[in-house]
Amino acid sequence: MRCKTVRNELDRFARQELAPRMREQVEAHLIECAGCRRHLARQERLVNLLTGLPQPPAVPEGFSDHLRAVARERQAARRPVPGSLRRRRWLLPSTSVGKKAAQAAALAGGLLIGLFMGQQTWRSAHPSLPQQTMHADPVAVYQLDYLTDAPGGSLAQSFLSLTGTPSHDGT
Amino acid sequence: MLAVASGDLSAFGQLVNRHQTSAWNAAYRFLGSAADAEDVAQEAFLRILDSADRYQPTASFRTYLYRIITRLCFDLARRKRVRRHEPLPDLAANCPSPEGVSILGQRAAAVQQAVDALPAAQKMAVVLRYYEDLGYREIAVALKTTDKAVERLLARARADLEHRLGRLLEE
Repeated sequence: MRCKTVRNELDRFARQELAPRMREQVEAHLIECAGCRRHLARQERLVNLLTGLPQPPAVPEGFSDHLRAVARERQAARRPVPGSLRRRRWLLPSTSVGKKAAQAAALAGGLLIGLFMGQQTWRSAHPSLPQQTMHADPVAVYQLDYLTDAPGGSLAQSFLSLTGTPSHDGT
Repeated sequence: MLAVASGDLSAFGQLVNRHQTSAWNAAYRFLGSAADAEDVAQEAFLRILDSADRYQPTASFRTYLYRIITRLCFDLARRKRVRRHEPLPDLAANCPSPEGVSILGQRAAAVQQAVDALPAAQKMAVVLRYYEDLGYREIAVALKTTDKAVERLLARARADLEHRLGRLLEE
């Protein structure tokens, strides 16, 4: 066994906490190694110095009684006062009311989403209406009738021909 | 703990009576103040009462108590930057002559000063090991770390103490 390993175990060795096999190995090493024996002796002197310190003062008088009293107070504070629960039900909205409100909100939200999706579906099933809107005569819609009075080849006529709407004069 | 969890205050009282000295001693050794030790020990038991229904007996109750004490001591030390501010308890009880008291007092003060100078985790490891007689596994649970880490903490603490108390170790 190496000295470093043995010295790590000396604290437990001195307190007889090592397993028998390890204890035998440490003992065998200590017989041969004067350095580790000195280390053990020094460590034991240190522990004696530590344990030689005076004992702490006794637990203060009435410590446990005081603690029990505090515990009793805490327990009493936590225990509900009879009748208080009923009053609270009158004063505050109960959890079931809150739950019902949440359910109603969820239902209303669901209905709105359903309505929106239904509208989309209805529009895709009846494409004629939006197409009509798209192909409505922009001249009529946006009241551009005065442009049709412009002379042929003018910028206004070019714009009307670009919009793809048949001209009002039949061309 | 089952009875405590069900709100049985007499069971809680028994628990306090059985373990108050351990809680008090560990807190006092670490904090060095009777008032702080009392606060910590009391808070530890009240926390145990509050969380009794969630207690899982994976370790002994004593180890569980030390774990809470450790956490509270570290929190308090961090908040207050605790340094021992009370004189050591009466040394005259162990020594008949005034000269002896003086020597013992100087030695004890030096040892206490060296322990107080350790980092918090090392100091608590020393307290739990050499004053509360806990094994490495129990200290690891209390400090929420591994056995190996406890071994290293204690080795560093001993090396530091040997360095500071070199003169006393030669005597």
